[in-house]
Amino acid sequence: MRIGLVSPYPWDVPGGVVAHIADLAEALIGRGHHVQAISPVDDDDAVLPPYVTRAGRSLPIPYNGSVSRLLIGPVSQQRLRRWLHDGRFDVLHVHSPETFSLSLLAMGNARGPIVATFHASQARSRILAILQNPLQVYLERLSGRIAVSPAARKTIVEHLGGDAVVVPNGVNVSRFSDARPFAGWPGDGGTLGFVGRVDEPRKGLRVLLDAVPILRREFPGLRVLVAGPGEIGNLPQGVTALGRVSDEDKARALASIDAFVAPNTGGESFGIVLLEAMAAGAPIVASELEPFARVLDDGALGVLTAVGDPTALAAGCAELLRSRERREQLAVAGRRAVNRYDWSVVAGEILRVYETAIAASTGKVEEDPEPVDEVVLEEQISSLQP
Amino acid sequence: MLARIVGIAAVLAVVALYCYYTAKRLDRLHRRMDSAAAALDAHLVKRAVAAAALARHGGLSPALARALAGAVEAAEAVTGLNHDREVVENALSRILANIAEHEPQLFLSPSPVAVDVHDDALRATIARRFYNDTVRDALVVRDRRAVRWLGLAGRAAHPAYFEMDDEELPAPKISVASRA
Repeated sequence: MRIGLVSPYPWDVPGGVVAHIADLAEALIGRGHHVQAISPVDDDDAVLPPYVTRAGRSLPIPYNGSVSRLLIGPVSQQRLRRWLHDGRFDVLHVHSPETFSLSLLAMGNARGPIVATFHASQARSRILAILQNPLQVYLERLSGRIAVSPAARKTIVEHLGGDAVVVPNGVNVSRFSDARPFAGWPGDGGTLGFVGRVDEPRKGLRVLLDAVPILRREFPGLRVLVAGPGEIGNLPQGVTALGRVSDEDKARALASIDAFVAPNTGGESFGIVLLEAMAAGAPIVASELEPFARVLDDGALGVLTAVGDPTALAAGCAELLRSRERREQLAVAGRRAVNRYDWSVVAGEILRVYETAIAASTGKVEEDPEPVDEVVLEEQISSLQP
Repeated sequence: MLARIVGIAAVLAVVALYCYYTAKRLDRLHRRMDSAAAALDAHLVKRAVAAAALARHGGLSPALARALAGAVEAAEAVTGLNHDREVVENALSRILANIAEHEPQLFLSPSPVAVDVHDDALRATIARRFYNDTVRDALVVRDRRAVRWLGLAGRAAHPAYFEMDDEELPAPKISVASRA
């Protein structure tokens, strides 16, 4: 099958959606499919995989306290249309179509079987509701929609109308299961791990750091390994921050701990870090968020604790630090359960969606001779109606 | 006088443009809906064929096998995506769910017959969601007052959702190691 993937975010800026697209592309290529991707790329010198085409630079747009990098423009449109023309794709797969980005541009400029994956979290749902009308002209060009979790599907159903097929995020199990721990880790005093942006409040590092003093009363030798980018202030005793890490070092960090802690306070629609920890064989203590509870099978695959509560988090961690047996049991259960999310399985499910989308459309993907800007004109005229 | 004529002409031009683009948009939506309907129909037929193979497979209790064969026959007798089809496809879904509940080992074993039923049922579910999305998208435009008054939807039949119970069957066991 010839598959075209569209990334809304710059390929050379690390992020969950781009990582997802890269893993998907490689899993599909591994199955013998022809895959091309188009993406904004910020750095002219960035080294890209051979299947990635540059659509141009992205525009930084300040939004919600952080900077979103999006891209739209005539140069991108030209490159995109050429890419569509040359690709002769059987199916086009755009990601995060709710962002004003290359994905939306692709939806407006292509016709044929188009599939979109919504990675949206609850936090975006308010924006989705506002954008529903202008988005509709683009969304109605999709053959099918994928949501990465039941929570993401619910967001679509409630705020955009229509439905979506749930296909979970994938994880490269072997990348994590084969990782070696760092020398001298995890040690005997008890070691906890955290992965994620350290200065993003919703990732909840603060909650974990507040739990550390409580835990040190029972585990004086406790250490915490923190992996993730961002500004971090003074660290309590025993906390080691690695900063931004490569995928390989993230896997090694997960192999270097007694328990993985996900103290997130919200904003997660899936919880890919939990899968990575499970693949690495790290038992998990996580906030009782709906997506986490789902991945952890309501606590069968990890300890769930009250959201934003350092005391409850400390109690959950202590439960695991005390009992090697319980840790082993969770690690074994986690390694078994995570196979369901391996990219070899998830890519098969996505292919099934592609095949259904192709069956539900006529012809191949091609540049639309009537791109959406004309339709937007119609939309503007219709808004003049009483 | 001239100003009035120009004014009327401008209004007419706007209305004409609106009609033109809306009719085109609806035409596109209807074509998308027609292909999605054809795909849903084909996937439902495939599911029935796979279910018939399961009924013949011999791994079922005679009572369940008879019930399944009966449901397949009923499903194959109805064509089109109408209410009668919903009823018979629903009955088939229920029987399959029943089998999954009473003979779970059948679905948990990776026997080719069970794998086919699971896969074809999933594809039918996906096709149904895709079809219902097209219905919903068409209705968003068709339900506008201006579209109804001006008759822009043409002679295309009023779109109807296809409703049926298609809860996912348990997946045949997969092991990553054995696939690699």
